[in-house]
Amino acid sequence: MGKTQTEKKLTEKAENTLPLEGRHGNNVIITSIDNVLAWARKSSLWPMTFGLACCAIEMMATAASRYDLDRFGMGVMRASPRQCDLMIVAGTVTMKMALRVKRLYDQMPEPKYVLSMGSCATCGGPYWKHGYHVLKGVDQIVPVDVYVAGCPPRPEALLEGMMLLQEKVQREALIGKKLAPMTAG
Amino acid sequence: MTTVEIHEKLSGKFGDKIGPLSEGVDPSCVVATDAIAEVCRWLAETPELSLKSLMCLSATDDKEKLGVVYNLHSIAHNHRITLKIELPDRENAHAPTVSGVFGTADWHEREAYDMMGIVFDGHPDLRRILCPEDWEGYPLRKDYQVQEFYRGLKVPYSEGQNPDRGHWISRDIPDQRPTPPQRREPDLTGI
Amino acid sequence: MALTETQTPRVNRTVRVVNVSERRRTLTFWERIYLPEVFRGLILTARHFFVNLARHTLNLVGIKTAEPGAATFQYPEVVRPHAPRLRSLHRLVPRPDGTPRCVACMMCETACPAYCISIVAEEVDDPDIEKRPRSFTIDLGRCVFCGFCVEACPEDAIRMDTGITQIASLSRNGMILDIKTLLALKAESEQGGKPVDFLQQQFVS
Repeated sequence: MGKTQTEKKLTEKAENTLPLEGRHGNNVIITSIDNVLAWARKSSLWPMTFGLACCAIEMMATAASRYDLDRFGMGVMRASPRQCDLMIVAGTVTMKMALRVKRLYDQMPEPKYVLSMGSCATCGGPYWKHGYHVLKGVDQIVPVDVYVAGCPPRPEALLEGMMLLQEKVQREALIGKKLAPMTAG
Repeated sequence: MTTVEIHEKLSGKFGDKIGPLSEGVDPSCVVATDAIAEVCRWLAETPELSLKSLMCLSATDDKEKLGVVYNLHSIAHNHRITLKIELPDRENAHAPTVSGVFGTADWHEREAYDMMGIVFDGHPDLRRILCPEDWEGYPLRKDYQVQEFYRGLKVPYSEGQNPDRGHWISRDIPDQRPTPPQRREPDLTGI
Repeated sequence: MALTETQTPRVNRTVRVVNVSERRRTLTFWERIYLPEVFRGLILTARHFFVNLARHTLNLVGIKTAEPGAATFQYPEVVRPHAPRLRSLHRLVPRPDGTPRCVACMMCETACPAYCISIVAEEVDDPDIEKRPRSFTIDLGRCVFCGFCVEACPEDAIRMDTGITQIASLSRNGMILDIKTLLALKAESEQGGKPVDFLQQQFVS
């Protein structure tokens, strides 16, 4: 199968700039089995319902019938962390809750991904300056793969973030191992 | 019954423990701190006053002294009054509890303790309600300084921040990018 | 019939009160053994299923049906239309010669409740336009899309009419827009087609 434009760009970036633990160089052989596995994995990411605040409403709206999350395979929202592989942190993370977020993240089985939805989970949101009890960004406790901006993000924005995550999962087939989330640049 | 009449009855009963009624739309009067519990009980139990509903219990801080405001309302007669107490000692603010009179005062007083540090004597279960148990300080006081770390997590946002403006960019360096936060391991004991 | 009419005080409206025991009636034999009712329900579901399946298939082939198969907007192929007033991604409005209209007066930066705009000014020779932004950055991670910056601007230099609401990034700093990107964005009415280049840019740069 031919590579799409996006995949070409992703490989270029992956080879040139991203921090990888073992650079594979030019002798990576991509098998179609890897591609199929990556396709299966990206098409059935089961999210954990982690609606903490107002972003939860937009997450529910995305899962409802107008913008269906089930079309992307993500309609199966499991409440237990043991059964899901995507944690959508939707809403303001307080200090009290941050400890529980970390606990639940540790309980998720590998491979696991985190999507930080909304302004509060990304960087503390509008509470970054004066909020004494708000964790300024959930990436202080869990490694975040995709950030979605908005307050709250529209369902289209969340779906775009999900599709970005799906592309990232697909990219892992190209390099053969789980990609470390980017924290700089 | 108007608020002025309620205040007259109150002064008639308790005398000099009740201060004068203030002017304005929502008149209030200052009550002596150690008498507030019996004042509230009398106001609730007198049939012609019947101020049985505590609409709100709020703690105040005007940089010098702390205070508590009680908004009382009567469902039977549809009249109301506001009582205030003043606590000049900031370090050691104690007030008697009214949770024996009004059931809702239980959590309201817990919130006042959590946010302002006012200890209510006689409260059945006085502990923090909004902040975690091991939080330092009382956040809504005017002189509150937020703690730097909580269980290993950094509390204030200050990654590459310009302190006088609060932005992460300085006036002289254009197109700056903030340094991303570092991952920290929180201390999960007790969770 | 036990219908009574009562008049409630303060509201000038009559209310019909039906005695509850009158609503129940004896069930027929088929209703009592319950299984035929289950089948009736299943037939209703199956009817909806096959009718919607037919609608979806016809729409796929190209034949338009009276009703769509479902209420779903098949994003990303079909985008739900939004109001023109929707506060979407910001853009800086350029003058005819390409420089931004912004005169670095800092009003938007002051008005922003989330402190997400940062401006560094520089001088301009033209005495009518005294200043110009050397750098104008908006941190979309913090932005709450309130529109205060648009209201505060005296020059109509910043607008939120690009129509782009899909802002996702792989890194926190990838959501910080600088002045070049903000000037390059166009209003929604001037874009032709789907404006996803914003998202793809982060893979290339």
